[in-house]
Amino acid sequence: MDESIPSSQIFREIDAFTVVEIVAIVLATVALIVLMQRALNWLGRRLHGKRRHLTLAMVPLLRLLIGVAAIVLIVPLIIEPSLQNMIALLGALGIAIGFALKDYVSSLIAGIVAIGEKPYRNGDWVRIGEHYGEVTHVGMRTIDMMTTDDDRITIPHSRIWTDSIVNANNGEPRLQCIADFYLHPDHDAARASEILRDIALTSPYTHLDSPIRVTVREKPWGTHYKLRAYPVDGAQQFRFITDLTVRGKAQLQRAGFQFAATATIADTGMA
Amino acid sequence: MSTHSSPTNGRDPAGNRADTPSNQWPETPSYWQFVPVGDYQVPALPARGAMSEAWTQFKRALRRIDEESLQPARKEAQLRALSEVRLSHLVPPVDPNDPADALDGALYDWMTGHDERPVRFVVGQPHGCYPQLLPFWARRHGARLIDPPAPETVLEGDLGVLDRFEVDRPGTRAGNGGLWVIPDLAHWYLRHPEGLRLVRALLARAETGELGRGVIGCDSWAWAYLGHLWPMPHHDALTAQGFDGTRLTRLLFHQIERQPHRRVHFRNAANGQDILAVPSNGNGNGVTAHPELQRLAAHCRGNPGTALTYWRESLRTEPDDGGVTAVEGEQRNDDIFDEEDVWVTNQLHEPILPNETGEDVALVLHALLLHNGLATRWLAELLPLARDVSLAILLRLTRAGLVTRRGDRHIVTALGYQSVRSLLQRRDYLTDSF
Repeated sequence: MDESIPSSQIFREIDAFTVVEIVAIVLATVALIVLMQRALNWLGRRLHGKRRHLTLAMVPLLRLLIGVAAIVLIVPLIIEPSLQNMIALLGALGIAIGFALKDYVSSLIAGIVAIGEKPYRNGDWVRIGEHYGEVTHVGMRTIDMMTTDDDRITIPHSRIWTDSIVNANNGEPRLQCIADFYLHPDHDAARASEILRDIALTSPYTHLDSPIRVTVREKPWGTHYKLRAYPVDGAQQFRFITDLTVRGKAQLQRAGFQFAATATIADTGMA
Repeated sequence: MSTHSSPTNGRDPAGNRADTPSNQWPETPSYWQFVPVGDYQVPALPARGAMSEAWTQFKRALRRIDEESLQPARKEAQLRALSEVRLSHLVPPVDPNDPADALDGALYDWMTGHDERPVRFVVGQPHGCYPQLLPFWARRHGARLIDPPAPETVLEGDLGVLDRFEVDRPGTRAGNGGLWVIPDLAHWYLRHPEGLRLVRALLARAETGELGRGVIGCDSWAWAYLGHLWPMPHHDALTAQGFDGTRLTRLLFHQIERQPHRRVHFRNAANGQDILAVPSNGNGNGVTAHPELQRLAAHCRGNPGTALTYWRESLRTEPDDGGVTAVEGEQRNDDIFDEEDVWVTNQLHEPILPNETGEDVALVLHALLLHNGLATRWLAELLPLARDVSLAILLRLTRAGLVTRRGDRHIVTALGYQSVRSLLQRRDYLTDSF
């Protein structure tokens, strides 16, 4: 029994009109995607908070929908859309991809998975491997991140298969920031906690409707304080941490607290 | 609440109504009403106004500046601003007797000793009437007015200033001898790690009754901030109910200083429609709110002070005369001989903050609102900005009409307030609950 399917049965007769039609669909799709991306990114830059995140997060989803719509329009123009034909075509494509374009297609599929699972969205602050920054663009194959050193980093979506993605704000406009303080062990911890809490309450960047917490851990070399609070906007995180640290140090010094130091550790023999 | 009679009649110089017996409480004008803070209702926009407002907001988000709003229509541009004297007759300052009467009504139980709470809080919005109201109310009741400490004292956390309160000891509560009033709690703290001690001590002692009986006024932004430092009694605090279209119409109706035999028509400069006529054919209590006034009330979120400023700034007159015409024919009656047209322009030069406003500007404006005004020196102390940068921002905001000076403090202007509040709210900064 001959199970091979003649190519004439899979593919339709492609005339000049069909070619024009396909080219028109492809061009329209590309134009629509570019326009949509530019418009939403432009609008997103003018918005703040939740509206900004929602607007930017719509970009990859809309691009996927436009792409799928284009494929749905193009495929019936090229092949006879029967189950047999689809299996044959997908099988051939699978073999080609498996050998030649494995990594590329892996990233494309990961990009589709990322739209559903949302490990990152435009505007999120994420850590992937050793890189930390704001996601500025979620493409089909890669994401773009802007780091705090103003470097643009492009990372393929396929990293979600193997790496853990640390998302600091997970689609929310705010993210928790931590300012660390290391004090000499001999002090009034309750008073230090009060001072640090007031530091967060009086920072102009603090989002006051979010919780402010001070956690204390005793270490061999002293006491480690973590002041946890949320800035009004995620983009303020470094100014916020700097403000908390600068004013926290000054206020603790003014109140007579001593900081843990190498000399102290050596003196007490706790190093 | 009882109904209103003429607000300026029958009062002695201290503000008491001459016709009010001392053992009775004065009538409360129906448009002033003090309610718990949680019961404050922000007036809603009429449906058409809501769409227009949303469209304006959208355009503002898309464009650097809403140029259309800055370009007066040719016809309206021909109208002239009214003289200060005429404005002072048409929109005089709020008579503090009216809100004071309403506050008396709200505090009746407390003042007559049926309510044992040691302090009552009165929260007001920026440019609302409360900074003038509470000193006036204190004078009316012979209460001691407690001035705010200097900012240096606030930073030092010197609790000695609390000794200024005269404690109303049990058995000595004859009259209101021990009653004290703090006009604005916003001036008792600084958003600085060392600027919170005094206000915390004040609130702790006041609420336990250690300082005797008193009324504490507080700006709504400071109230929102202090709520994060101290469990503020939100259900106990009073505020003037929001001025919706109807209340605002009544306020404007009763504000105007009337001239005998003259009716003033406030007409929309764009379409000539009557927005308000004073006197109306009725007695004023049945005055219906024109959609323009509903829109104004909603735009100002029920703040009577900013609404009156907008109203005052939008009044225009014809270039030639005052627009006074004699009433002729059948329209004339025994009371009205003259009709005056005052035009209300929609092309108000409201200072607008562009959407691209920098973060430093937002920080400055937020600090000014949280403290109900700050001097330049303290602004630089409270913000992570150099003094020169703060000063430059203040100058720029002053030139734009968003900031002005009240004494040595810089404050957000009444006309710029809604734009500033809207910007800070969009960016998720702490805002008041009004």
